[in-house]
Amino acid sequence: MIEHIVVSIIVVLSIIFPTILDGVERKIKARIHSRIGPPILQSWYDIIKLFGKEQVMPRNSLHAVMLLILLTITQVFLIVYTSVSIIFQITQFDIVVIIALFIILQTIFISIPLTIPNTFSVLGGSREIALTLVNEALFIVIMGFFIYYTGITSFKQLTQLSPTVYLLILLLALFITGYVSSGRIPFDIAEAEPELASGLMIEFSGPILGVFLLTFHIRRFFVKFFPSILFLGLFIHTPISLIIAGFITTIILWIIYAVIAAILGRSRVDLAPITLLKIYLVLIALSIIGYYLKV
Amino acid sequence: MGKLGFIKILVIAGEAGRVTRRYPFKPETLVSEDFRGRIEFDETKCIGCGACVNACPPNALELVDKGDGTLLLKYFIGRCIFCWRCIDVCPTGAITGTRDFELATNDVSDLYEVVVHERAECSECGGKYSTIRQKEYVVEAVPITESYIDKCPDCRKNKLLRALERRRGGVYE
Amino acid sequence: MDISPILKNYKKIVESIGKSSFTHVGDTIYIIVEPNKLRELAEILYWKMNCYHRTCVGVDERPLNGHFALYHIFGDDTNGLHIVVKVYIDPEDPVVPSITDIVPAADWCELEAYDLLGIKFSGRKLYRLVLPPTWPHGVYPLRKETPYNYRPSVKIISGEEIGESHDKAVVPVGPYHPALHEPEYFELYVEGERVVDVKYRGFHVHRGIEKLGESRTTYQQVNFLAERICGICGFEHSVCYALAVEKAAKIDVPERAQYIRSIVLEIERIHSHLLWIGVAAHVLGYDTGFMHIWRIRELVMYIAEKLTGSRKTYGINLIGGVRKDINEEKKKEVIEKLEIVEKDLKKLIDTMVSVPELKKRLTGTGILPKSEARKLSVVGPTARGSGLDRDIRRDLPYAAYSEISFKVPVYSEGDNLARFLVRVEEVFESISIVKQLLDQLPRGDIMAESIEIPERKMGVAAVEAPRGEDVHFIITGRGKPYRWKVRAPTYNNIPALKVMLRDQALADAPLTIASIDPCFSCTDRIVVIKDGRRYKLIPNKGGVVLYG
Repeated sequence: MIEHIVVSIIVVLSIIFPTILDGVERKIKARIHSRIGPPILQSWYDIIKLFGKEQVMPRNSLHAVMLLILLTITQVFLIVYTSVSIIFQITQFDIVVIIALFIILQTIFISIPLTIPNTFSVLGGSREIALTLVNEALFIVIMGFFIYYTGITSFKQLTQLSPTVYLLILLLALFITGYVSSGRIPFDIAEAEPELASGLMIEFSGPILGVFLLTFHIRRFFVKFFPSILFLGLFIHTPISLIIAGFITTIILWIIYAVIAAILGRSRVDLAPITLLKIYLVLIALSIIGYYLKV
Repeated sequence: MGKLGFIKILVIAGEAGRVTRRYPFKPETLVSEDFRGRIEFDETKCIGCGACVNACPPNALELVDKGDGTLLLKYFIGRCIFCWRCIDVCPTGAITGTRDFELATNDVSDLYEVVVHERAECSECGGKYSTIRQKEYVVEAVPITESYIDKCPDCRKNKLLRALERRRGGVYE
Repeated sequence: MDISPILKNYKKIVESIGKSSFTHVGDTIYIIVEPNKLRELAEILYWKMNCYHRTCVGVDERPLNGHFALYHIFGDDTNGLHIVVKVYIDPEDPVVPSITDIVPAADWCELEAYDLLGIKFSGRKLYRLVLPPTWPHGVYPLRKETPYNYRPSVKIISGEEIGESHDKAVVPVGPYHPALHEPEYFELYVEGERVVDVKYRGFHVHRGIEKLGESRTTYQQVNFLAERICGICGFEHSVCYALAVEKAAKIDVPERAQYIRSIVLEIERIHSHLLWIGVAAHVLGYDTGFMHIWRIRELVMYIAEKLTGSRKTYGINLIGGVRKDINEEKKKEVIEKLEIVEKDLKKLIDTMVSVPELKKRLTGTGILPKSEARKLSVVGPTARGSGLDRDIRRDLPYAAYSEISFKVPVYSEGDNLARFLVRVEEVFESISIVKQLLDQLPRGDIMAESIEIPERKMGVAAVEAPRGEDVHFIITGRGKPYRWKVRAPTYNNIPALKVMLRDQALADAPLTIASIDPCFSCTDRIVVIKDGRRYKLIPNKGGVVLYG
C-alpha cells in the first residue's frame, strides 16, 4: 500500500516539480549573476500566464502542433512509466522500453522544428539533429554497454549490482548525455537566443509555448532522474528508498547543472558534437579497459 | 588554476553579493544629488519673458497667446530632455530643478504645467503686448522706462517715427 | 606663416593638378578643384599620400554662390591634417565624377548626397540608400527649398521587396532581432551553417537631424540635438560639433573646459566599451560575464551622473565651454570609484577569457585583413584590430589630449578576439587618462567669455568616439549652421562587415556584426518619417515566409 502512495506522489511531483526546479535554477543563475532574480515559482507563473493568452497557430504548422501534443503525452507517459517500473516491475525489459520510448521522444522532438516553415526554426532543428546524432546515439551505445556488462534490463534487477570502476565511468558518460539532453549552455545551440531568436521554438506562443515549456521541464527532469536511479541502484537496494533517493539526487543534480550552465558560454554546432564525441569515446574506452581488467 | 580559471566567476559573484534592488517595491533614492530631473516653476517669480522658450532645445517650453488677454507658458514634460538650460537663462530664478524622474502617467494632462500670465494693455491703442509682470520687472530694474512702458512696442515705434517726422515737417501715415 | 615641408608637398601636388586653389587654416587644408580633376587628386591623396577618406558632404550652396558643392574630406592622420577637397557643381545638371572605384570608402556618402541633394555621380551605379523606397522622386530633403517639416503624402500598402531570388537559403537578421538591438536588416545567404553572401539594408531610423540642425535649432541648441544622435556615445558628437563650430568661429575655449570635456569623453568611452564587452559575452551565451561587466559599468554610470547630472546624454556641453564644473570632492570620489572599477575589471576579464567557449569563438572568426580595412577606411577598434594604427586622440589631438600620455593598442590579427582585446585595453587606458586629467585639472573658467560666430566659415572636427572617429563638418550661417554634416564611425565600418561575415559560421555572425560595435542610429540620421506609417514586407521569393 505504502508503495502505491509513494509512487503516486512521485508521479505527481515529477510533473509539477520540474517547473519549480526551473525556478530554482533561475534563482541560482541570478545569484551567480549577482542579481536578486525572480521568485522560485516564477516559471509556474510564466506558464500559467501563457495558458491565459490567446491561441495563435504558427502558420502552415499544423503538423508541429500535433507533434507537440504527441511529444507532451509521450513525455508524461515516459516519466510515469519510469517511476512506476522502479517499484513495480512492469516487464522484464523495463529499461529497454524506457530507452526505446526516449528515442521515440527525441525523434518527435527534433522533427517538430523541421515542420515549421521558418528559417530559424529549421536551422535550430538541424542543429538539434547534429547534436542528437552524437548525444542520443551515444546514449544508446552507453546503455548497450551497461546492459552488456551487467545483464540487467529492469530496475528490479538492480539489487544484484555492486559498484565497480568501469560501471561508474559508464555512468559518468550517461550523466553527461543527460546534461546535453537538457539543452543547457553550452549545448543550447538549437535555441541559441542571440543567433536564432529561440531557434526551434520561435513560432510558438501562448498556450502552445506553455505546453512546450512544461514538456521541456519534464524532459530535463527525466534526463537527470534516469541516470540517478541507475547510479543509486548500485548502492541502494530497496525500491522505495531508491526512488526517493533518486528524486532527491535529481534535485541536487539540477542545482549542480544550473551552476555549470551559468559559468560557461555557448558552443558552436561545428564544435560541440566533435568535443562530445571525443569525451564519450574516451570514457567508453576506459570502461571497456576497466571491464576486462575487472576493476 | 590555468584551464579552469573560469570557475573564479563564482568567487567574484560571492564577493559582489546581490547588487540589484527591489525597485519599485522598496522605496529608495536611486539618483545622486547631482541628478537633473523635472523642472518646477515658481509662478510668483515668472514674468513670462520667454527666455527659457528661446533656449529650450526640444521645444518643451512654449509661449502660447490665447488671444483673450492671457499668455501661457506651457511646459510639456513629454518633450523635456532635462538639460536645465531654462534654469541657466531664467532672469528671475523662477525655474528650479528637481530630482524627479518617475514621471510616467496614464493621464497626459499630468505632463503639462502651465503658467498663466495676464498681458499688458497698451494705453494708446488698447492692443495686448508682453505681460503685466514683465512690465513690472522692467520698471523695477530700470525705473526710467516707466514713462513709456505703458505703450505697446508698435505704438512706441510709431510715436518715435511721428516725432521724427514732425521735426522734419513730414506726415507719417 | 612658416609652411612645413608636408604642407609644401601638398601645395606642390595641388599645383601639379592645375586649375585649383590651395588654402591652409590650422590643421585643415582647403583645396578647390575642377570636377574633371577630382579623380586624379583623389587617387594621389588616397593611395600615394596614404590619406584616409573621412566622408563626403554635398551642400546646396545656391543661395550663396549659385552652385551645388561637394566636399570630400580626407584625413592625413600621420601628419595630423584634415584635407577638404571642394568641387563646384552646375546647379542645372548636377553631375560630378564618382571616386568610388578609387576610394571604396566613399561609396555610401556619394549615395547619400545623391539621395538628399540630387547630386548625380557619373561612372557608378546609383540607387537609393538613405531615403525610404516610398519617398517621392525629385524631392531632395537637404536642398534649401525643402522645408524641414515637409511630409510627403504617400500611402504605403507594400514596401520594397527585400532580397532578390537567390538559390541559397536566406537567414534574415533584423530589422527586429534579439542580437541587434536596433532596426537594421542583414540578409545572410547560407549554405548549411556557412554564410556565403551578405546584404545590408539600413537607414530605417533616419531622423532628419542634419536638416533640423540647419533649420529649426540655434547654435547652442544643436549641442543637445547632436548629443541625441547616439544613445551611447552622444557626448562625442556634441563635443565634435562644438569643436567644429569653435574652429570655424575661432573661439578660444578655456583650458579647464577642455579638460572637463576630455574627462567626460573618457568616462563615456569606458562605459561604452564595458557595455560592448557585456553584449559580446551575451551574444556568446555567457550571460554571467554580461551581468558582471554591467555591474561594474554601473559604477561608471554613477560617476557620469555625479560629474554631469545625468547617466547618459550628459547635456553639459556648449559651444565655448561646459556647463558643470568638477570640485575637489567629486575629483576624489571619481578617482576612488575608478580604482574599484579597474581592480574588479581586471579580475573579471581574466576570468572571462578563460571560459573555453568564449576563447574558441572569438579567435579566428570575423577576420578583416589589413588591406581590406585600409581600402574601406575603417575606423576605431575595428581598424586597430586589423593593424591600422590610427587614433584621432593621438594623431589630431583635440580637447586636452595633447597634455597627457596614453597608449594606442593595435593588434594585427583582425579577428573578433583582436577587436575584443583592443577594447579591453582601451578601457584601462581610459581609466589612466581620466586619472591623469583629474590630476592636472587647471584652474580657471569653464566657459568662453564671448561667443560670436561669423557667417560662412567652415570647420571640420574629428573626435575619437568609442567606435571610431566622429567627423562633423560645419558651414556657419546666421544664428544657426548653414550646413551641418555628421559622419558616425559605424558609417565607415558597416561596409567592412561584408568581408568579415563571408565564409564564416552562421553562429558567429551575430558576434561578428556586434564586433564593430555598430551604432545604427548614429549611422542613420536624416529624413523625417511620418508617424504611424507602416511597411509591409513582401515574403521572399525563396519560398520561405520571412514575416507574416
